[in-house]
Amino acid sequence: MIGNDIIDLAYTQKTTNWQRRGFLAKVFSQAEQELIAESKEPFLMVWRLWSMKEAAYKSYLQKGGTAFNSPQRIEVSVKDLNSGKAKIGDFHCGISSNNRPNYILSYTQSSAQNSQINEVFKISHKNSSTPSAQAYKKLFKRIAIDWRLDESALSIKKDRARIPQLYLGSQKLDLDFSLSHHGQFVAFSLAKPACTELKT
Amino acid sequence: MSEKETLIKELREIIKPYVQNQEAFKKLSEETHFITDLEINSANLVDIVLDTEDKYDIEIDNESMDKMSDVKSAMGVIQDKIAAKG
Repeated sequence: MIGNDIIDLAYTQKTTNWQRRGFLAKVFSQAEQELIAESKEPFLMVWRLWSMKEAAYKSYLQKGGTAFNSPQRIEVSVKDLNSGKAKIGDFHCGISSNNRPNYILSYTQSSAQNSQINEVFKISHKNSSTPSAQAYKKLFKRIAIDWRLDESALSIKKDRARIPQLYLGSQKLDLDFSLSHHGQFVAFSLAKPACTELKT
Repeated sequence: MSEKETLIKELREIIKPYVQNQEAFKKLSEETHFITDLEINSANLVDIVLDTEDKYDIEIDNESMDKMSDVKSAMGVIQDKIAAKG
């Protein structure tokens, strides 16, 4: 199950003061706080670790995990510049992070034989639709091309756990994906099955 | 003003700077959910916890933070922590 998370770096700089007293201790474990303290760019490390936690949490929820608020329950570690791991109780996953000048995108890695599409878009302010609606449209476009489906018949409904589910008309599609929106950016991650047969 | 009314008014002030959905904020009640109704982002949920700790001089641990999903549960956590201070 894919989980992703995008951080708009300029936006987060404006909206969250990670240096306020108590913030790091509320969010990060001792080991994670050491990674931040040792980092040459603590700001980027804070938000990389944060986005890894969010991506892992989304994947955990899709697997039926119980919702919670405390970010400390998600333990993350980094392997190198782009990869790391996360653990929530018995749940484990590998995570990739892309650090670009304006954003950080993290996503859980799907199984090795499947390829994964990860795309990032800037929200258009000329467009009157909401950021979520803009993200949905980008996702539908991509799915319509790759799976040869009618784009106009695609829609998203949230289930009881508020996890977005994809529909073709009234039929639920078994597609593994995750959406994220933050500040100026929206992102989706989508697992491409080995064959293009869709289970419904 | 009852103790409950005072608490809900104080909580309103705490969450105000982090609210994204102003329409939902205008209609704030005990049932209002921080993330799904007020669209508060998860980083700002941490700010709300820290601001609450400062305001009431209490400590909100992970278990209590997990409960703080809506106005009612946040009020419950604050009341319990204040009572525990004695």
